[in-house]
Parts: sequence; structure tokens; C-alpha cells
Amino acid sequence: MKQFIRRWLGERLPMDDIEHFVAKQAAKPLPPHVSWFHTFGSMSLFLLASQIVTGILLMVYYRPTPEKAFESVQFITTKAAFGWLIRGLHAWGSTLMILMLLLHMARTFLMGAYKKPRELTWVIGVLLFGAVITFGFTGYLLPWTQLSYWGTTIGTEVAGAVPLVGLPLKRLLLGGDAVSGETLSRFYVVHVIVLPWAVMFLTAVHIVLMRTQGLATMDPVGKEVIPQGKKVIPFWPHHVLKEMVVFSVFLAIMTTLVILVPQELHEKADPLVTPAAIKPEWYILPGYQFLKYFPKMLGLAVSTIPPLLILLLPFLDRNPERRARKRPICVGLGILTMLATVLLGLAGHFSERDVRMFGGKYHFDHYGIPHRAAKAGE
Amino acid sequence: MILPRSRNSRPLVESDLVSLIPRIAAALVLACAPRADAQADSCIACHGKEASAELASVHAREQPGCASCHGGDPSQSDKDKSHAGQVAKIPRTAIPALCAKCHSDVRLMNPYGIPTDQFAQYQTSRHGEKLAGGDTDVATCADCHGAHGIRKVKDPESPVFPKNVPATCARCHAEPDLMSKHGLKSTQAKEYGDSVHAKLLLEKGDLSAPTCVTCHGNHGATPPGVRDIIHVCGKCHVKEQELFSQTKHFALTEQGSFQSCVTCHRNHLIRTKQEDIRRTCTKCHADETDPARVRFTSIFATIRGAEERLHGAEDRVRRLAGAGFHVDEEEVLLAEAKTGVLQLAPAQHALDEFRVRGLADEAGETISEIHRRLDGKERTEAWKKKALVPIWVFLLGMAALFWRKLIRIRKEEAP
Amino acid sequence: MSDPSEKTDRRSFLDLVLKGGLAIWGAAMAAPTVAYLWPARSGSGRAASVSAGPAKDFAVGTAKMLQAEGKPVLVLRVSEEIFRAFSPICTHLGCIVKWEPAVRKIVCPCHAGDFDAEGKNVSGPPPRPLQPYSVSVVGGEVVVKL
Repeated sequence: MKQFIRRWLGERLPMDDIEHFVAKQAAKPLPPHVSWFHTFGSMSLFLLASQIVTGILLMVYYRPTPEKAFESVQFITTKAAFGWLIRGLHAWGSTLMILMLLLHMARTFLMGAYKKPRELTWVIGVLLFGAVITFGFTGYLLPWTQLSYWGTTIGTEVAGAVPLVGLPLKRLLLGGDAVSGETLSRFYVVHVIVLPWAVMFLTAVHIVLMRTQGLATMDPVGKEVIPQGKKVIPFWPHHVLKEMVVFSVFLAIMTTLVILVPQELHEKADPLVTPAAIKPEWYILPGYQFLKYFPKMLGLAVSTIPPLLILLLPFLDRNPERRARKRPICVGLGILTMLATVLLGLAGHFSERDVRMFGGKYHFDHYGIPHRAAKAGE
Repeated sequence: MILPRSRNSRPLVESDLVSLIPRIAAALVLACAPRADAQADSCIACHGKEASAELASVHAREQPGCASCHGGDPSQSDKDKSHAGQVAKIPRTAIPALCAKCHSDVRLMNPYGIPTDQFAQYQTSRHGEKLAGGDTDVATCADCHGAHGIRKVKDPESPVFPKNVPATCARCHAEPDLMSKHGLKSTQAKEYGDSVHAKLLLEKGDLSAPTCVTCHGNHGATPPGVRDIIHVCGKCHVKEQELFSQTKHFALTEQGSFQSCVTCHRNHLIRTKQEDIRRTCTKCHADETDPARVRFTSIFATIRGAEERLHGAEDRVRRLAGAGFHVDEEEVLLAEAKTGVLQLAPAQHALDEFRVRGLADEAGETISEIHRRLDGKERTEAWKKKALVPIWVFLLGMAALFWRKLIRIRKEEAP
Repeated sequence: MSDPSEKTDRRSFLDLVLKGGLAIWGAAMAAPTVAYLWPARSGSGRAASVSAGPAKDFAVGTAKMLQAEGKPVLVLRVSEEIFRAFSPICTHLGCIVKWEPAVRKIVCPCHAGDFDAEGKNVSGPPPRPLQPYSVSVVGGEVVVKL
């Protein structure tokens, strides 16, 4: 059968060239230091595929209007066969994808793989990360729950605070002056067509670049030694098998999360009732908390700096060294930034909450600083 | 706007003739208030306080001016001339007849759609009877409706707006000294306040809930006689009345040895708990072998059982809803079951255990259905969690296979 | 040292198990997907309507109680041509009301609230009329729009 197909195609296409190309790609040599940490990228890709597949399936039953959105998601989770699984995979998939991307970015950063000649790959990667965050932001509105509605309200408020273009930008995003059915339509279009195309295109370029340039070694810039001979690891089947091991375990973990920690719908959106202490999703929380420490304009201006620094990192970092030990300042700053982001996220999570810990009751204020609650009911 | 009443003073407030503020108020009133005629004008010039109170009243918009109740000549600006023929402080015994001058006039009241039997009713009431006998401690029109600043009954500020009625009656009927002077209790207001009727009226804002006047009447206020109580309660509690009237207890009420609803439920406090009512039952049916006792024990047990089953189902539905289950259909069934159980309390008034048991069984079937469905839902959730075991086994197995394959390949490549 | 043919056997066994595992894996992911896509009861969102059965099975002057999308519905045939539908949840304290054909009224068993055949509250405590639903006869079937 295989022979027949090969012959049939061979009469129409340059099969030798194609086979040669495929074989070359399969046998792509990877530097010997490539390890388990190099599976984060492919896991991100798997998660992208998973989100696309589950997303398409969800679209079969989802209705993008305020009257029906919430009910259609309820239908999916209660009446459609395995709907709870599809939706759960999609909801958890978004969180896990962002986590996986962060791990992938951290690995790339710590190994200095973003430096010349791979600056472009890094830039596209950062843009991809921004697109995925936007995926999350737009997708969050779609179930039309209280959290969706009010989280989006806050998010677009921030956009509106940008000087000059802020208000028109906000109106454009919202399709009006407040979150409404128009907003839902726009976010849906972005989430379901615009971003998928953009991300697939960027991903394709990202992978082509990565394949063409090969994975970075740990040699300093300008002194790269192309891996050859016995020391290299063929992409297929060696690295792929490693990826399959990671993939199997990761899928088990993901399924466990979907079953044991279901993402509840809670209540349908009510434009007349704002729930107490609304907070954005965890991946926007650090930025949200960061803005609290500055007056509005200054905060917005300052908050553009970290993303810009990350985007332009390969051009700002002139050190040819890749090994972490040999670039203490850069790596140090990077780790500090990661820690600061985590701390901001925690501050955001605990702010405006009462928590019992260390035997006492503490109230966390707006800035995330705990104060001992003196009396009950405070 | 309501005239304060202290123990010894009369309702009418002394007017303050010599003060600047009423004069300014009067000038403003003169400038701003549209008047149907010039009748009231000169009264306002001095009696500013009453005038401003009167402005908010329903009378202000209509014909009666100060003179139609108080007499005098408002067209005169001279004090003596304007006061001529005036009755400044209307004696309490004269108030009802005075109000009736207009309010019993059918032709006059017709356009407003106001009934005209209030005075006639009042005269049959205890208040009216006593007032006719010269006792001025009783309520007159002005005590409940106010004198100046009378508002429509529908107006939430009116002292006779349903929500305000208990407080208005309590002004006298909760005064221990005043009440004991007339041989009456003064605990009714507090008892009513603790009752389910008061909670409905004041907490839930249900204006159809009974106030003092619902049972006692308003103008013809009289406590209902023992034989009449069932009709009073039966105005709303139709089912209970229907069933109770077929029982022996009702016959006893007719004879006078039972006080219908009040015997078990009391009048103002409205006892509804099983333990309280049981105590009343055992007053006559104390003997363990008394068939009536057997019967009421069975009825109470059936009702208690049904209520507990209902609460159990409600708790389970609530718990599962909180745990993320979708229980819309079960909630509809709960509403049906709740209606069924709500019917048990009225049904027991027939003193028929079979009737009560029949209804309880029906509700019980609905509750069983609820539990069946919830069992199904919990089972589905349980299998999801159980499915994790084979999933992990399979995936870890696959991981092991991949790993083994990798090792195998590496070994084959190494010389 | 194992003999080469044994090695090949073990190798192909491993490959076989691996391929089998992958096939099972693929099926285990495809099956729920197909089940999911297979049309469930009546489409997603809420069902737009519910049927009260054929009109010819509905006697004049009688009522039927239905359950639709987690809500109860009372359907009443007032005359040959006229059907009415309401939410049977009493507007007083939430009990479920009943149609009493003998007196041609909708009655609440809890506190004797009465509604007329148009769902309007006519006596007793209920403060508002019953919530109406739009009902019509479509192709001989009585259909209530939710």
C-alpha cells in the first residue's frame, strides 16, 4: 500500500526531494546539552494545538451573544457528552500554556539562546507571548460570567487611561462605552479568527527560524561550533521520544487538573451588580498590582518598560557569553524580575482579603501589605 | 405631622402666636402655595406651624380650609374679627362628628371614591361607644389619621399605611398604665411584633400581611368574638377554615368550650411550632390511650418527618449546587415538594391522619425523585475521579514505553 | 549476550506494544470528540420552546403542567382557539399554583391567592399577575415559547 502511494505521488511530485527534505529534518542534529528542559517549546506547541482543537469543538455549541453565551457554556458542561472535558481542557489549557511559555522563555533566557544570530526568533517569541496573553484576555469574556464581565471592564479601563489615544482605543475595544454584546462580538472575532491566524503565522516563522538556525549551543556568540559527529542528538527519534515521555506525563497532569480542580462558571454576568474585590486572571495580576503603586499616568508609562526591555533584550545585551555563570548581572537581573513578578502576583492575590495565618487574623490592604486585624469583624 | 400624645395633654398643640419664624414661613407659604380660595389666608399669617403641616396633607389640595373645621372668618385680618365664632381647640368628643360632616356625605365623597361609612362603623366600635359615653381616653379620627397633615392611606408616610398601623395602634395599646385603667392588656403590640405576620409585614414588606385592622377592623374596631375568629383568620387561611369547620373542635367552639384558632395559636403571637401546639392538645388529651392523642401524635410525626425529608433534600441540592453541580431541574422538583409539604400544616386542621399521610407521601415521592437524580449526578462525578486511575496507568505506561524505546535505540547505536 | 533474533523479537514486541498504545491513545481521544459532536437533546443555549403535546389531546377548560429547561410551565386551554401559558410560581410566596376547572380560576393552595384565566391576580395576597409565556398552536401542536 505504502509503495503504491509512493509510486503514484512519484509520478506527480519530486518525491526524492521531498523525502530528502523530510529525512534531513528528522535527522536534525541537536547539540549534546539538549535536555529535558528543551521540551518546553514543544509542550507549548502541543498546548497550542490542544487549544485550537478544543476551541473548535467548543465553537460548535457556543453562542456569542449576551443572552445565550452563559447558557451555552452551561449546556456544554452539563448536557453535551464529554463537554465538561473539552471545556475543562480549554480552560486549564490556557493557564498551562502561559505557564509553559514562561518556562520556555526562562529556559531560553537562562541559556542565552536569544543572542545573535537568534534575536529575531526571540522577538517573535515575545510577540507570540503577547498574543497568547491577548488570547487569554479575550477568551475570558466569552463565558459571560460576572468575573468575565467585570474583569473585562477593569482591563479596558486601563486601556482607556492611556493619554491621547486611550478613550478612542477603549471605545474601539468595547464597541461602545461599556462592556456589552458588541464587546462580546469583537472579542470573539479576535479570539477565534484574528489571533489564531496571527499566532499560527508567527509560530510557523518561529519554528522555521529555529529549524534553519538549529538550537543554540552554549558556545559564546561568534565562537559557535556546529555540533557534529557522535555527540549530536538526532531530532528523530531521540529527542522526539524524550518529548513523548514528557508529553504523556504532562497530559496526565492536565487531565487530573481538569477533573479534580474544575473551573467553575459561578454566576452569569449582571451589568448592574459589581462583585466585591474583582481581580483579573493570574497572568495579568502582577501588572495590575504593579499599577496600584503609581499614580495613573506614571504607572502606565513605567509599566511599558519591562515588556519593552524583554522584547529588545537581544539588542540590549551585548555580552557574548551564553553560560549563566559568565553573565551574572544579566542572569541576576532576570531572576530578580521573575521573583518580583511572582511577589507582585502574590500581593495582588492577597490584597483586599482577610487571611488567618500564624495564629492571627490579617487584613491585606490595597497594596498587598498585611495589617493585623485588631477586632473581629474588621 | 402626627400630633404627639403625652399622658395628660390633649391632642391639639398650642399655637405659637408670637414668633418670627412662623411669620416668615407664613409669608413664604403665602407666596408659594396655590390656594383654591382666599379663605385660609389670614389664618396662615399667624398660625404658620399648623399651616406648613397642613400643606403636605391631602386636604390642602382640596376644599377644606382652616375654617371648615375650626370656624372663624379667614377673610378678616384683624385677630378678634377672624377668631369670631371659632373653636380653636376642638373637643375630642366632637371630632368624629366633625370629620363625618364631609366624610359621611355620599355626594361629597363620591368623586374621590372614598367610602362614607366610617362614622357609622366608628359608632359601633369600642372606641366610638366609649367616646359617646364621654370617655376621652379612646382614639378619635385625629389620633390615627392626624389632624393637620393628613395623608392618604396609600402614602407610606401615613400613620395608617399598613406598615405603620401596628405602631399607631401601639401608641395607646402598648401603654401599660393607660390600658390597665381600662382593664386591657398592653402586651399585644410586642406579641404581634414577634409574630410571623409582623415579620411578613415589616421585614419582607408584604403589604397583604395582616395588621391590627385586618382582624379587628379599622373604623369599627372591635376584638372578634370567639365564634367569629375563624372567619377573621379564614379570610386568608381559607383551607384551614374549611377543614377546621368539619371537625369536633369547631362544634365545641360553637358551644363555647373551645376558642377556635386562638386556642392553639393564640391571637397576636401566633404560635406555630409543633411543641407549643402539642402542649395545648395535651391539656385535654393527656391520656396516652386517648384515640385523639394517638391521632395527633401520628399527625405531628408525619409532618415532622416530611419537613425533615424536605430540609434534607434542600440541603443536598444546595450543597451540590455549591460544589459545581447543575441542579436546575432538581430545584424545580424542590419547589413542587415544598408546596406539597406546605400543604401539610393546613391539612392537619381536619384532624385526619390519613389525609395528612397521603399528602406527605406525595411530597415524599417527589423528594425521592430528587435524591435519585442527585445520586445519578454524584455517581457521574465519582466515575470521573475513578477514571483518573486507568488514565494515569495508561499514560505512565506509555511514557515508560517511550523511554524504553529511547534507551533501546541509544544502546543499539553505542558500539 | 542474547541472540540477535531474540533481540529482534523483543524489539518488534516493544514496537508492537508502542504502536498498539498509540492506537489506543488515538482512539481514546477521538471517541469523546465524536460523542461530543453527536447532537445532544435539543441544541445548545436554552431550548427556545417546549411542546405541550397535540392540541387535540388538550381538552377545553383544562390545564397541563410541564417542565422545561429547569422551569415549570402551566398551559391552559381557555377555549377552542385560545391557549394561555404562565409560570405557575405564585407571585406571593412562591408556591406552585393549580388550575381549578370547577371555578375557572388559578388557585394557590398556600394562602388562597386567586388568579383569573389571564393570569391576573384577582384576590388574596399575590401582588402581581403570573408571568406569562407566549403559546401558540404550530402544526397541530401546542408550543410554548420560553
